[in-house]
Amino acid sequence: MRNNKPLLCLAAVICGLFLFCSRSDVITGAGSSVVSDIDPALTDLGRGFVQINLRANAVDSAFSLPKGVSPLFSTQASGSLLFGVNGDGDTVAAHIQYGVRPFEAEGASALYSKGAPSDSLIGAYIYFLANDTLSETSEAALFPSDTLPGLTPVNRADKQQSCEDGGEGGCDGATDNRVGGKSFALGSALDSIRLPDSIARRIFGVRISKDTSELAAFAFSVVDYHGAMRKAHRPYVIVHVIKSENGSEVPVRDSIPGGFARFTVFENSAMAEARSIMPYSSQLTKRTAVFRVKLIGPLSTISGGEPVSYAGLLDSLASFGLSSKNSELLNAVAAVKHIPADSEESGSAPAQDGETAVLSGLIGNYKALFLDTLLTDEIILGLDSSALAGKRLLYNEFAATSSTAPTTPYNTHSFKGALRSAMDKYSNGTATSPYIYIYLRPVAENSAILWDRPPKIETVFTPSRSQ
Amino acid sequence: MKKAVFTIASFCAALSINAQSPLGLSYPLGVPDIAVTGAAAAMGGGGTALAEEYLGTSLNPANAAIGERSAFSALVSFDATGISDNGKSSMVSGYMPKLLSLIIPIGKAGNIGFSMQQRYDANLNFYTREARKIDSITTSTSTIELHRNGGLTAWQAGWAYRFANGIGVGLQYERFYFKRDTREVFESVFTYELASGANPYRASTTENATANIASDGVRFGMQVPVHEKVTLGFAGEYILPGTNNGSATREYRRSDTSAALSDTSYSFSADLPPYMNIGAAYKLDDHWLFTADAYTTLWEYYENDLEPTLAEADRCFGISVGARFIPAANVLSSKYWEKIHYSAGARYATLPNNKAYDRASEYALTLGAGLPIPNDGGMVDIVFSFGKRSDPRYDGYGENIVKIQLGLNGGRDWFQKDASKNY
Repeated sequence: MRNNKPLLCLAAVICGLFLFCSRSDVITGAGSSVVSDIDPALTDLGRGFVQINLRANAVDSAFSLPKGVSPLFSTQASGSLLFGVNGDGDTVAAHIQYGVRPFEAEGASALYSKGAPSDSLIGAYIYFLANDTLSETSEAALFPSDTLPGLTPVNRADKQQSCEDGGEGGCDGATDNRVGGKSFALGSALDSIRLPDSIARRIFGVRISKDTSELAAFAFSVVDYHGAMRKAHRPYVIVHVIKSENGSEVPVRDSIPGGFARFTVFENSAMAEARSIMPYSSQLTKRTAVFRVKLIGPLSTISGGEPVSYAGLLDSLASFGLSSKNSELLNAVAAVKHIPADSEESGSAPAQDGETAVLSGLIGNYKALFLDTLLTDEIILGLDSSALAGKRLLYNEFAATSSTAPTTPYNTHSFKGALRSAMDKYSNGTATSPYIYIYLRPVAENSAILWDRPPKIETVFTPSRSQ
Repeated sequence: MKKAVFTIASFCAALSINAQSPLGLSYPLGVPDIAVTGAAAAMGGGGTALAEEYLGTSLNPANAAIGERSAFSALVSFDATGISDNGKSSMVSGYMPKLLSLIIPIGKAGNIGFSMQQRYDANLNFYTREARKIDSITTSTSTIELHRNGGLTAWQAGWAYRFANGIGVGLQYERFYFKRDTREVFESVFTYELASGANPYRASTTENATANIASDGVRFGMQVPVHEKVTLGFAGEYILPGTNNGSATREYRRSDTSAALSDTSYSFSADLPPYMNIGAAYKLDDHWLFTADAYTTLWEYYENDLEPTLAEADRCFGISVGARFIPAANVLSSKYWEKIHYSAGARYATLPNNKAYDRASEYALTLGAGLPIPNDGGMVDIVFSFGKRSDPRYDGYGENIVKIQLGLNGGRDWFQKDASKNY
């Protein structure tokens, strides 16, 4: 053991040396004269990184889309039935579709299969379960509707009024085509309406059918409801049947879940114009705030009463000896900031008689999208004949971005992809006036946000080393 | 215990953190370094003429002719470099296995030897960073990183024979591998101290480049006793010209895109420079030994299609002198400290900078102690080296180098008698 002591000491020294040497293996600062002799760009931070920041006035216009009022844009698929009027005067109408298939098609055991007269149909009912606003007791009505393809807006004409003859061309009272001839209130969290017997019989017949391809499709709308915003679970259709079993009669309830539901927001037409010229956004109407950022050309602003002019982003880049072709965009971040509802700035569109001011409402999560193209009403609504027709581009683009909540004093977003694309188009000659468009829209339910101009845009370029 | 030390050394060698020098950027294959056994390193890196098993074949292939014994040597070097550059300074350290050597007897036909030498280091981790406060919550940080890893490694296998008159000759086949991986990173980070927390946006471009060269060579060595106490030695190597023996790749990437913006690969031709060394050893008595060596690298024969500018390197030469003292050599009952091999040496060498400039050079002073492992277990060498490296091309630039080198040597008679049969 005594002979091992020197070797143990040696092993300890070796371990100490390994630890010491592993703690400093990076050279900082010193040695730059040698490195720069090989490649000056490797030590010259000023040359390797060109930082160009744009101020808020690089935004040369701010507005919202769509320009006009369009239920095409504000129709959304939903897990609930949403209807009523929100605080901004927008009216929401709901629609739900049902598709009933035979028991055999669903692979389920038949609750009733023999058909009349052995099993007899009592009736079919639609049951509502309230999600919220239980204190609201205004009555709503359900109207029969056609099934709607895609995201076709809810049809307000589903409500049809008829006039009872009061003699001499007058009406004693107006009646409408509401289902079951009654309203529902959801005041007690549960309400039901008896469906027309024709629908009940159709459901009953399809359920016991041996033809698995049979389908009973029907739909209802909640329109012309002007109470406060309500939200209800997708209602079930319950089919009541008396089944003969061993000489006795047993009541059976066949529960059919609601299918595809949607709602359409009919924007307050009195406010639409005011909203369209402001960076206003709403989760319900899907109105989207847009800021257009100018990338070239001198920009002017007023600073302390004196006009100040400075170059756009690409002009500034050129002043560093770089162009969109020989530079590499390394980093690009834009700050976005909302105007709180209680801010003095929010009074920029004051309420007129019978109108509501354009201001932020409930503020929650939102999505930010940066593009190098302006999406017009025609493009986003799929109304033009171009290749983009048929696509609700803004829907699709927003789906790929993640949401966040506003924070203090602003939020930040990277927009390298959009800026690169704009610069590529500019250098290829396909865009003479490149812009970046910032699209902002809340995603939190019933949220509306009025946005301030992005306070700053910060970019870093580096000379391209791809060649 | 020997096994434990060897295991630790092997493990750490596998996790080597490379020694570095920015000067290696401007030299064709990196910074040259001596790759000899601990015994030779302690004497300033010399010993071409010295016929001794603990010198292995690192200096002279003829030294493999050690008779009917096998010998193993290894050296790992711990380097600490203080870099001063016009008022700025930085300290960097690393360790690297420099040498492995094995000699095996083949009876009357002489000995065969195998070795690995790490001859040039092209390692560097360099970065420049600046953090700038844009406003009270925004910071913009720019960083440039340069990482290089690699060097020249020589793998050797050869034969040696010593004649009855003491003349030893050796011949080796050599395979050279040069490898250099380079990564250059330009990184920008915007950091925002928002109410929701720090929010950094990190983006970078990365350029990765590799260069590899493989060449074959032959090395001849000779040790000639010219006097009872004096031996002369010579060794020289010639590397065969290469055709398309090099390969290089380069790719350029952005951190936010998966596809490379640029991705190329190509081949090139490179001829590595010949090298030769001569030396003399004077053994005054059993206590004292003196060595003197001179060596040169003929960079004028170096060619490289990939980097023609770097190929214009100046011919290098170097000299080293050393001495060794053993207080009680061959005295069986001596104390342990009397058995230690005390060595000292000095070395001066020029560096392969461009011949258009004044010569770059380095020098080093060495002190070493060879610690015998009891029961003929071999020798552990501990070598301290202090030196300086400078290049007149860079005013105000210098490197102060401290090395601690650990050598492990072992040997045994190949045809031992079974001691148990003596009883």
